[in-house]
Amino acid sequence: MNSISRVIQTQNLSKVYRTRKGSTPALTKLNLEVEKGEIFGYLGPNGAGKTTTIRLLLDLIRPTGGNALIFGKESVQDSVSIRRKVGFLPGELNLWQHLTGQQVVNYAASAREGDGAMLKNASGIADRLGLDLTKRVRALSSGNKRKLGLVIAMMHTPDLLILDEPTNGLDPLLQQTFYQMMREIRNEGRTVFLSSHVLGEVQAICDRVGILRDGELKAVERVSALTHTNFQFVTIRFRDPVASSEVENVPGVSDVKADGSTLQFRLNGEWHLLLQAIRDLHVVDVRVKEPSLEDIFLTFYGEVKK
Amino acid sequence: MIGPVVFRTLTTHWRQMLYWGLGLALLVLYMLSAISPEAIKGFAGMLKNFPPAIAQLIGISDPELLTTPDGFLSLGFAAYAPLVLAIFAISAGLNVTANEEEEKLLDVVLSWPLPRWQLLLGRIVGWTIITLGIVGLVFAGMLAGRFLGSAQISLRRSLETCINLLPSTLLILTLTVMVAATVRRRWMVTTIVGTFVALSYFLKYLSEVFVNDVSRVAGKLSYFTYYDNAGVSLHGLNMTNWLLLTGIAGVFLLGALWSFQRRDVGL
Repeated sequence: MNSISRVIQTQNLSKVYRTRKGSTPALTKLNLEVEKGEIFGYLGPNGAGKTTTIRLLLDLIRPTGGNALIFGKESVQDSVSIRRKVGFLPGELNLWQHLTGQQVVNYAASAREGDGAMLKNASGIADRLGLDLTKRVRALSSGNKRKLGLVIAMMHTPDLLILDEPTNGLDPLLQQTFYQMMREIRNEGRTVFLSSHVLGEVQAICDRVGILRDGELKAVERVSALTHTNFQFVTIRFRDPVASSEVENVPGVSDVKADGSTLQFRLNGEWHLLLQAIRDLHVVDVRVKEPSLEDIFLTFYGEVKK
Repeated sequence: MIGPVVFRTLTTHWRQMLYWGLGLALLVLYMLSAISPEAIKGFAGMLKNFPPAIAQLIGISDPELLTTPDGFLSLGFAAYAPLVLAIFAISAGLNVTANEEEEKLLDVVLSWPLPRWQLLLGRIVGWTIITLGIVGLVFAGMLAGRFLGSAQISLRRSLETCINLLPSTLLILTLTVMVAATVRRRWMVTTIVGTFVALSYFLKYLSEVFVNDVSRVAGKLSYFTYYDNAGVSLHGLNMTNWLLLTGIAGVFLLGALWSFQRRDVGL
């Protein structure tokens, strides 16, 4: 990988928040590389340091150690020229309540010295997302505000899109539209850096994923490497008491716990083998729970969750 | 290029100019049109019987001054106009960064290709133009009052009284911006700058009520001393004082730029 293909490169990037109560490390020696033309997912639970990383990349906050290069330029010294080519959607989006969507777009366009083409592009994105730009921001639902945030993040066709929890508040149909737009951006050779705590979202569109926990980057993997850890927690309630041996030997089933007429286990395999194994039992109820990011992470790295 | 930022500030906040400017202009218009020279003299005579400390507290440093129309304008309007404009200046200063930072809007604005110093400077220039507009409206109110009323105030003194309002207002505006660029939280900014204004007024009051070395030194720490509405009414604009306050406002501006440029935003 040469330096031209790296859109984001951080070297020991660190941030410590200092308050009167003491120092809180939010990000510790982050070494990360994001390549041109990829969709990079930045995964981690709340408080892991995802937003801190994004704010450092955009020069909203200053590092206490290390540095970040974006398009090969230093994020603090060259922040203005970097931001010309970056689109940003904050996780906690607030917009000017008294303005209409179109006025917000016009404001963003004027700050970017945009022309008619930029406004036309904004209008096209709004149409695809089903957003009415004539409404005032205060009249928009949180999902529609998010759409407006996406419009002003993408209207100038940025080379790098930095999105913090982009699909928060978007309905499932629009999420699909959003995923499609992200794929189009990648196909045009542009780059997307998106933070999320939703594994499904990352799996749906990302090429690679970085996993962050407690301010430290634990791993960077191709999404395909994570998919084999795609398991589910299954709880089945039967009419009669059952023993764990009923499902223990089914391929993909592990961690079986029997409690009277209920079986709880982890399934990392095909359902039909499980269904065959219990076909003679009277099933009352089946519940399936998707694993949390933490569950996936611990499984992937073979750690034992206490 | 701060032009778009200035333009944006003006188009967003021009109503503030109307509200504050017309409010003060109508007040001064009412004062000048409704009160006759005889009434002014009667009012001055009444105030002579006031305890000096009370008269000082409401901004009347010299009841004799009230006997002239220009003096009446100075003590009846210009003495407390900077207090009113200080409220405007704090509100305006909060609009430069603090309000948007607390409402998480600054994250969006600073993700655009706009240097922080340009954002700050452009907005301060915008608010300075709005302040000029307010002062202009006040002057228009004085002119109208002069035309409608029988108290013949001096045109030159009226203009100087208005021009004298500018540096103290800009001083509070830039102080607010500087404090906001340092401590961020709106309530904290308002408390600090509000205390500064109140303390300044109190020091000026002390220096006029108690004539001794300590109060004289205390008075010099108050920006109201350099505003000196009575002096402007009697002797015209004091350019030294005017430039001093403008210079301090400039220092506060530089402090704000320096602080805002180097600190974390939106925590």
